[in-house]
Amino acid sequence: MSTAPNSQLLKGSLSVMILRLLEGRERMYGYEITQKVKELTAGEMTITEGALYPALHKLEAEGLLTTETQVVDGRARKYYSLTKTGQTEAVGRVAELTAFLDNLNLVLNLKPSL
Amino acid sequence: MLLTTDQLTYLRTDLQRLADIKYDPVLNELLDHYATLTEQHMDTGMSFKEASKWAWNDLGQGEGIQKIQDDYIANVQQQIRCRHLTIVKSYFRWPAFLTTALVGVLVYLVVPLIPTDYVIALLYLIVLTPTAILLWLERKLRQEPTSQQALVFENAAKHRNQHVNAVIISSNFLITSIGNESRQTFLQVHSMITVVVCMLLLLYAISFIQLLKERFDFRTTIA
Repeated sequence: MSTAPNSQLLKGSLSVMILRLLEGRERMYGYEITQKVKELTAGEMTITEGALYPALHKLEAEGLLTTETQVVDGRARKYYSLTKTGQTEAVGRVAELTAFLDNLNLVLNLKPSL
Repeated sequence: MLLTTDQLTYLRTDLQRLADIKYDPVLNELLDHYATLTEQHMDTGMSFKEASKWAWNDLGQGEGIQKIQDDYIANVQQQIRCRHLTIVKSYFRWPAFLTTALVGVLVYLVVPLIPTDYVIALLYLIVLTPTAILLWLERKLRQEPTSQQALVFENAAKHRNQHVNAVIISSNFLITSIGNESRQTFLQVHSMITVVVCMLLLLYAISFIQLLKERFDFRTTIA
């Protein structure tokens, strides 16, 4: 992730973001994922390639993603999609992160007098 | 704006020369990303050269790109190790051990019936077979140094040294047995041990052939 203040915060949630993005689509390729995140966050959040591809490869090695290579515009394009395990895992991880963020919000919104 | 074949070759060369990207799966994936970024910049009116410079910058330049390859290598090597362990486990089961033990007994019984010089020559041949297989694998993989298979070769090369050590130890066994007063008994025992060890090493060497045949494309299909 390129925006410095966000980089550490986003590091642990990148894989969940990828799983969530792929949950709603049949398949996506690397560049498309970076652009989608940028678009959804109105440019507030950008994923660098150095963070994206290792995360994608790790999810693939874990068996959560499957890949398919197709020749597009004269070059090979690698598409990622969720496996059945990935689909189940995506639901679980998204719920886990949402619960964590809810709890984090409670702590961050704590009034000083309490 | 779509890139021409020459422009794609130019970008590919950038990745290979400036970031030392050598493995085809990483190279292809990064080339697509690099090309798409370049096309985006060209759509704003930039020339190809200018757009590719901006795209290179966006891509994290050489160092950032190399990290992607390093991560990829570590990832594939981990997969290779896991798969190899599964293959080795499937080979080293009781039928293999029983056959090896029976062959060992057979060698022990047959050695006295063969002239000593022939036995020694045969043992050297047997001892060298597993190493010969690994050397053959090494030679074969040198022909495709940019594929994932090259990483299998690296694993095999590491183990080749262990095989060479085993060959030296076995040779020493043979040398010490020659000229001994109870030469025949020594030769029988040494032959049996050597054959048993070599059969196990042979199975181990063959496991690399199976690993190589799988080609590590099991997660990727070409549409």
